[in-house]
Amino acid sequence: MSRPAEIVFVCASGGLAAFGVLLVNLAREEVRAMPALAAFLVLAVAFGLFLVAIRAWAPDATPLLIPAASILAAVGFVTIYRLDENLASLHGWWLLLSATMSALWLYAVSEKGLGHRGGGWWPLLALAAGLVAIPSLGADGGTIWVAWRSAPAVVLNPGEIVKFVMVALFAILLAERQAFFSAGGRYTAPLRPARVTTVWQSILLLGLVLVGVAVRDSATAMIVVGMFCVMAYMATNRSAYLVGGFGAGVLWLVAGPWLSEGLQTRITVWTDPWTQPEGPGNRLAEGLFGLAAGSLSGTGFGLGDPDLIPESTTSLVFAAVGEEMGLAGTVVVLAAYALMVVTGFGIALRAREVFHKLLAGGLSLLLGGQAVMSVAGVVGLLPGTAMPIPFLSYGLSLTMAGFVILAVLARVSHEERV
Amino acid sequence: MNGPIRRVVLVLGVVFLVLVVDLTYWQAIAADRLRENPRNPRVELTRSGRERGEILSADAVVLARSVPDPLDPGAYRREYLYGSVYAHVVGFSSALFGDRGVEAAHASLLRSRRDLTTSGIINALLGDDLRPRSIQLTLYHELQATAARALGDRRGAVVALDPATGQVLAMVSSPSFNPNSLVGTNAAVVWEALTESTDGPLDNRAIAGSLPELLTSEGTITLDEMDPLSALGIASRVAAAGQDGLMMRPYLTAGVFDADSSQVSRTDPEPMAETFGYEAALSLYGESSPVAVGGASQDRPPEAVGNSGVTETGAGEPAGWFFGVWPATRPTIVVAVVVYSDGPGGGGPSRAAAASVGRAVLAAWIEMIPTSVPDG
Repeated sequence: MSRPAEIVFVCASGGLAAFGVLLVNLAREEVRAMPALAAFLVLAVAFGLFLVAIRAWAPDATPLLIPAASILAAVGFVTIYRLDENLASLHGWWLLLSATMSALWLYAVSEKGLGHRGGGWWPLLALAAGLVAIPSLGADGGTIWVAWRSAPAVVLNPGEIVKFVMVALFAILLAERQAFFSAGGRYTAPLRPARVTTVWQSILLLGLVLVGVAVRDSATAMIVVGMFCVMAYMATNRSAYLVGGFGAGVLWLVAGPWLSEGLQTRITVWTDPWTQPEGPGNRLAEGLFGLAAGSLSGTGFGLGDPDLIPESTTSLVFAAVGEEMGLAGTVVVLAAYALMVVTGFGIALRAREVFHKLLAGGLSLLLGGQAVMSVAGVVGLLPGTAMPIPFLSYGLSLTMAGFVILAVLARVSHEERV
Repeated sequence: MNGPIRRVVLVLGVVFLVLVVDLTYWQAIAADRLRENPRNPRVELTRSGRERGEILSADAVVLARSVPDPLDPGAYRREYLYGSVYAHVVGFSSALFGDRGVEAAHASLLRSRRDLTTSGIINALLGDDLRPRSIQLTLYHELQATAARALGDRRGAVVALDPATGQVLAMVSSPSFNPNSLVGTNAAVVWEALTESTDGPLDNRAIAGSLPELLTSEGTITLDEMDPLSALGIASRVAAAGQDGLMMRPYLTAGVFDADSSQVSRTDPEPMAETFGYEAALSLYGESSPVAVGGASQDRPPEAVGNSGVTETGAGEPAGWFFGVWPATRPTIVVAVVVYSDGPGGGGPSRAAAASVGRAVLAAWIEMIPTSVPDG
């Protein structure tokens, strides 16, 4: 795909959003040009800006990343608009803000290139620790986001940024460790090197699980632990890490219900959604009802009842897409994610530096893993993992994380070809 | 390092495929089942706004129809044109309180199948007619209206049967209710008043039970559960007594028509296997005496015969009852009336009131005869 094709795709996604918004209004028997125009502008400007930044500061990056992301963002924007117009206008601002931030980041790294030795990455550790700590200070147990009292829709979900930061951190850690293995003798501690790394990792793993339980955002904790295990496997080719990660997952399923009442409810609902009490608590059944209502071709934008689905703009947005766009829409969404993920892993495979490989591979896995776990949670393949999906769901932190992941992947892709 | 990355991509690819397969299951294969699931909140929402077929009387008077909802573009609302007259037979279809009567018994026929379910799309492609079907009842509008008017606000019931076929020609229960009030605004308030009323306006006294349980999807009534001393119980047994014990199964649905008014199916008369309680009816029938019917004239002598009395009913409540048949030989109608109280809340069981209601219904039938003779 060439650069002009990329521009065409960005315009097409703007057109898709505008068309969808128009259909939503038509379903309400209203013809309104302004919201459709605004939707086109939001998508075209956000991704146009991102495109310009990539042409300026990462010109050799693969052009396959932006089309998929822009189509997903358009589908997500229309779905959010259909459910809540005010939320959609906020989400439009988040898209623009996130695109701007990732463009600025691309500019910032354009001078020195993407490296882990500059020291600039290490403040991320402090940032991650701080973000994890914020929600645990909240009075409302189980709340995993921070909300402003005056504007309840403007929430900061630190978990989304923590995941991104943690992946970057693991990439640094594992790259350092490889360097340590090759250099040898640089760390002259009395303990044998293998022991050092094993202990270090075990403590890290345990700490993450405990932090996750403490903030009651067990899904984020699970993803972080899983990310570490798979990235360690990528770095070392030792399948013991995968076994360990799988064991941690099983442990989470078995022990989780004793530690968290919310998780217990989710697992009970998961095992049998049809006899559990109806209503917003039974997210699995309500989400499946939404998917079933869409059937093959969907009810059409504005013609279904996705407002009956709980958390339909965030965790269960996929069910809302399935209701109004049908199986056709859900398969397109999955295909767009698959394209982004495969492109990301392709960047990792071609990258020359270990750090770049791990960073691109980890971020692709984060993107794909989050999409897969979200959808698996909606259709009931995994218990209680229905979570927001980047680009599709409403949210500032989520959209920001999505755009930054794209920017990092684009930069790695650019450097691998220079 | 590329080896493990490739394997991770492979696993993710397999997971994506599994998700597509699972989504296909939920959105295509299991979708119809989920859409019908009573716990699905969409079931009630779509039912209230969808077009449903018409319900007609035997003489083609529209009793219930769907009209475009002026408040909600694209949606329909149900209209019951004669309100309380047919309340217990036609019933109602409510998003909030469920379906009753014929609306419940034939819910699947009356519903539009024009939707986006997998089966709906496939049937549409195959050229099936998915528009809602209409149902013709065996009730005659004039007879039904006369019965309702004659019964007035007494607590009781009237049933008129064609003894040769078992067709129910009229079925009225009092006190009644207006089904339109259950599909409009304030429906919840009306429903609460109806369910809490000591008069039991929702009960169908003609069969001493509620229609959905007694009315099968074929449109016939299961008599074994029917109170033998309800109006329908008396009418069907008297009808059997007049035909040497051949008891026809009473039924309400004459036929089903598609949107182009061509007949899809019709209900055929069917004799009952067992005729319990028939001997008692036979002795009462034998004691019948001529009944003076208002509608009689020179051409049509008052050939009606009937009987009346006061009896303890199965429900433990004394009732004044009346039955009359016309003509006395080879009757075309059997009318049974039960009156529990001669007025709203006051007066006891009244044999005289039952007899006067019965005579009015017989007279209306005799008036109708030249224009409409029931087949069979």
